[in-house]
Amino acid sequence: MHPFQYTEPQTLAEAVALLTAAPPVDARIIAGGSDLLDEVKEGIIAPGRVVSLAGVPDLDGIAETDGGLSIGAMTTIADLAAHPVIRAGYTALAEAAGGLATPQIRNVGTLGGNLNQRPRCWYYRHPLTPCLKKGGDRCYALAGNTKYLCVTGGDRCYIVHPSDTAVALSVMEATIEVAGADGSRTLPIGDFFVGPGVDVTRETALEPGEVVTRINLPRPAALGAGGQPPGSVYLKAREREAGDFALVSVAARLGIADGVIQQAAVALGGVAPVPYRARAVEEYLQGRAISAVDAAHAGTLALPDARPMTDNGYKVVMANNLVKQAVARLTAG
Amino acid sequence: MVAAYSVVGQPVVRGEGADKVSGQAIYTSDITLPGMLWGQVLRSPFPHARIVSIDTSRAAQLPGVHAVITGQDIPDRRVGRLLRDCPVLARDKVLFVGEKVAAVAATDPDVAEEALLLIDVEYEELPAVFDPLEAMTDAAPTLHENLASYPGLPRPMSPVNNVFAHNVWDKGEIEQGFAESDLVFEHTFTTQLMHQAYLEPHACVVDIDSDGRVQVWANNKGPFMLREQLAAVWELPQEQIRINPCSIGGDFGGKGSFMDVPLCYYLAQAAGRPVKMVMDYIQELMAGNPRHPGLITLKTGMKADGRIWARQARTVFNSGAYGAFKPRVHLRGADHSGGPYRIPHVHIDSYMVYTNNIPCGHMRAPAKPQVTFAVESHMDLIARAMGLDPYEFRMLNVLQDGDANPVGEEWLNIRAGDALRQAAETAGWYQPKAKPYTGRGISISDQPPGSGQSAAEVQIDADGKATLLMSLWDTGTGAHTVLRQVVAETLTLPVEDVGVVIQDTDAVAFESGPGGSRVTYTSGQSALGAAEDLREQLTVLAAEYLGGAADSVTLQAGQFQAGDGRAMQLKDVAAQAVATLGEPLSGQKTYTAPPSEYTSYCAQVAEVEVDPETGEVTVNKLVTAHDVGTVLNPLTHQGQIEGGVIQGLGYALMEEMETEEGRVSTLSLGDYKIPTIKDIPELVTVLLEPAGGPAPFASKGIGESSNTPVAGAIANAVYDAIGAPITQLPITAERVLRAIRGKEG
Ligand SMILES: Cc1cc2nc3c(=O)[nH]c(=O)nc-3n(C[C@H](O)[C@H](O)[C@H](O)COP(=O)(O)OP(=O)(O)OC[C@H]3O[C@@H](n4cnc5c(N)ncnc54)[C@H](O)[C@@H]3O)c2cc1C
Ligand code: SF4
Repeated sequence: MHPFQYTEPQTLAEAVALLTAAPPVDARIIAGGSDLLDEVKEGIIAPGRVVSLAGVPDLDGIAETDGGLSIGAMTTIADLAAHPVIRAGYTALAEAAGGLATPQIRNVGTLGGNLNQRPRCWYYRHPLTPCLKKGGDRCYALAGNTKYLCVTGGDRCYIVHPSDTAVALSVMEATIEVAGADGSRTLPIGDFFVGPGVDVTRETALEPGEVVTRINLPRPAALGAGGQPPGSVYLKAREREAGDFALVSVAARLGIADGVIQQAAVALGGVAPVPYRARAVEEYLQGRAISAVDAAHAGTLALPDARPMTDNGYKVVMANNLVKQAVARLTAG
Repeated sequence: MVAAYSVVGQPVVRGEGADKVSGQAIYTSDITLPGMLWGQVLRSPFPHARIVSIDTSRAAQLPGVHAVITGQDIPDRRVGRLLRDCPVLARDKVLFVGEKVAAVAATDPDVAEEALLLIDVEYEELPAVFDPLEAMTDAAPTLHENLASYPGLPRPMSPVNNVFAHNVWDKGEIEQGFAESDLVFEHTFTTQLMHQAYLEPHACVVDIDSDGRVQVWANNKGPFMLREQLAAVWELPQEQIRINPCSIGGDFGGKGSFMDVPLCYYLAQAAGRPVKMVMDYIQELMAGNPRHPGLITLKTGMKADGRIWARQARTVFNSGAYGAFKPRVHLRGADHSGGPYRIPHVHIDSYMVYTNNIPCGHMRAPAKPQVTFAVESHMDLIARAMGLDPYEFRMLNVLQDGDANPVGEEWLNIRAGDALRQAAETAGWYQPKAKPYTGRGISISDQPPGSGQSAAEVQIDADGKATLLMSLWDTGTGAHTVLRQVVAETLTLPVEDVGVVIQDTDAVAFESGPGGSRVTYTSGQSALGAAEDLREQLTVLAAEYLGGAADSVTLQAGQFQAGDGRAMQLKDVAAQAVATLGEPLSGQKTYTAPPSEYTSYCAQVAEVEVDPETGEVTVNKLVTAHDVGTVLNPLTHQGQIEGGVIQGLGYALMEEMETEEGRVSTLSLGDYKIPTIKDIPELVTVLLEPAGGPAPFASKGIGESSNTPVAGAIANAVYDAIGAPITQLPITAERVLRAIRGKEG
């Protein structure tokens, strides 16, 4: 394994300084390390410095705030999955967290690390295929096996974003708080992830030296008389029951009052380089009486712009069916 | 025939377990010698290429590097378990992605790795072939031009391009069989590359000691065979090589390989220091010795009444670049292409084919999981086409006691039908299914205990404690505990009073080691024989001490009893004997096992549920019924059954080393998916009433029984659930979805 300097800053400012200090040494953040160390061992990256966030205060924990919930980036996936408020009010997130990877990884892996993990495309992970994402000159997937890759949104690179939590957060209007050398900023989750068309070498809007500090979940807008807190669900198709990324996943959240859908948010994982908002499904559901919802029809609207690659047409079928199941589940009874 | 045993049949926990879970057990990578260096290899990025030049000068100058070698620096000899076709380091050509091209020995693994980056190799790419059928055509490049010169090549040589072994099994008259058939069915099945996924990757340490002896530590389960292979490639007398024992962290057939040992010696020689080499899992998945992918075509002639009349099988195994990793060159399990059925006319052709893929080796019941998936799926396709119930169709055709099997072998006490019946009854074969898209599938196979040679010694000391000495490595099966039970039973000692000492290869002439469900039979008989020899010696002495004739003295519960009622404790006899002799008393046995007269059937029923919207398959329950002998230790016996079922489930549903242009894409255990505890179904084990076996106390082997039928049972259950067959493993959600949609048109 490539040797690196390991640092444990005690403040956020120090962490940012270590990430940006001259001369540049390809400094990387380490949280739980479950992805970062794999990348080093597999020889994909060779950082000169690794900056741990373990000693930085206030990055851990889930707090209820006036606006809703604020989750520290260093909160473990296991804690997220077990949190009573998240389980009750942000069910899709608890389900996404509770079903991802394995118990061991959920115990060390953090939400910040989960959102910032790198893609699983096996050409990206392979020592013998220096693809575009690693600074090489081509996408190996184009002439290769595309069964786990995207069906929409590809642009020179065809990864799917591997994070389950990102998909769930996408239906919850989450915002991402980021700290950097120039202070901090807050990004809506939809702007946090960027597709390969913007920059093929990264998956997020983070600039070098920036750290994700908190993830904020606004309390769902109060609904009119007869309104219920919006219910949400996360469904995931995969090849084995644990330790497996989504073939396709769906997060859906519906706010229903007086039998009518007031708010609809639906996102898909496993289909695009970023969490994919199924806008056509949302439009169909928005304002519709639940008695008039045709879940199967909603399913067919999941991926109107899908352009499957040679080996992944099955994902479109899965996406349609999972959206159907999620909508049926949330509009039942 | 239930005999009363005191130690045999008890669930004795394994002796080495505590050492393993507490980190005390010594594995190869734990071996550290003074001055030891770390070896690393540079591997080919191309599937087929000529090596134009290698420049190692920059690597050699890196501080900490003690040796850099290439194929030009070592003798031009090839190594192999039987067929010697594999260069220690590539010389002129590379034949697969991952082939070793150069090696470095350095003071630590990071320096060695860094040095690899400084080696410059110029390659000239050559046309490659990956598909075995294509490789068999004349248009394909011939990968081994000097095939005829390789020691160990089976004769006569096949005239077919890139085929290094062609085996034929024949019974009856196949053409006549088809002519007499009313219906003929033909299907082709495809199986994948599968890794053994043992916990411990290949590792070795080689030291050339001050006497010029080559000391080897390696996680190789067949050290005597390894010594032969090494002696041949190093051109050293076998006596000059000693293989030292280590615990082996899982085998599943994969640890019979020499892997890096031949190379490690040349590094040690060049550096003048001991060298350790440990593969990481990336290297294991890129260049280990996985299970062969199979392409299996079965053609069956049927009588209108449902009797199988003729079976023609063609099995093509993609061996990859070399055949060196197989102990027999071919895969004998191809002889199971008829299944355990009465078939009068049979013809089987099995081909081992070179391609530019990763070289394949042995894995748990070599070739049987491949052909059994094919045979059992084919059975259901025929049954459904003929309107027969798959279970009843099997019962109609299954071998009966006294029958010869499809390749003419005769076994004692055939209980294949019993195994099927018990599996079906336990699974509730005829019960209605709870909901749509659930299915049941049945499958059966058999595995005879393998023969071999084994040597054992049992000593008893002045305290009456026995020690079993064998050159039998521990691969993690619990075999030593079972052998201790055999000795304890024979000497009527408590099992705690029998210890084990694992010896190196200097200690005995030969030991076959684990493999082919052989240990309980072959090594069991030598341990038993040694214990019996010791018991006889003790009996003679006891008679002498008791002043009676030996034939009037019997041993019971640790006590020798003379005809006249006088008695002496075994440990007192031992004490007196040791005092007289001045050393422990010892019994010995070298046993060469004849081919077993028994086989062992395993029938299984799987119950699955398919999500028709995503194609995901959940196995809810699996019944596994075994035609066993005496169960020597129910814990280790069940451990083999459960581990085998889980491995079979992985084979059926998820495990696949995907390759592209010969390059393995799935280079981590995240991408290469083995089952997790959440994937494991309810398992119901049915053991038939023990009815004889060739191993001690009428027992049989169990190691390779339960893994073989699983894929067939699950595939048939999925077929039952969705109404469409899947003829390719693994049965992933994607393939199930495609099959469902294909059926819907
Ligand atoms: C076998 C296996 C199966 C898996 N299955 C799933 C799955 O099904 N679903 C899923 O979603 N994930 C899955 N994962 C991925 C796993 O969830 C992630 O590895 C984990 O969440 C990463 O968290 P970490 O804290 O260990 O991150 P680290 O490994 O420490 O970091 C990951 C990346 O994020 C960066 N980073 C970490 N924290 C921050 C921060 N605060 N700000 C900015 N950048 C940061 C690091 O620099 C690094 O690039 C799987 C992983 C494995 C190995
Ligand atoms: S899809 Fe992206 S990550 Fe995968 S090979 Fe192509 S460029 Fe690389």
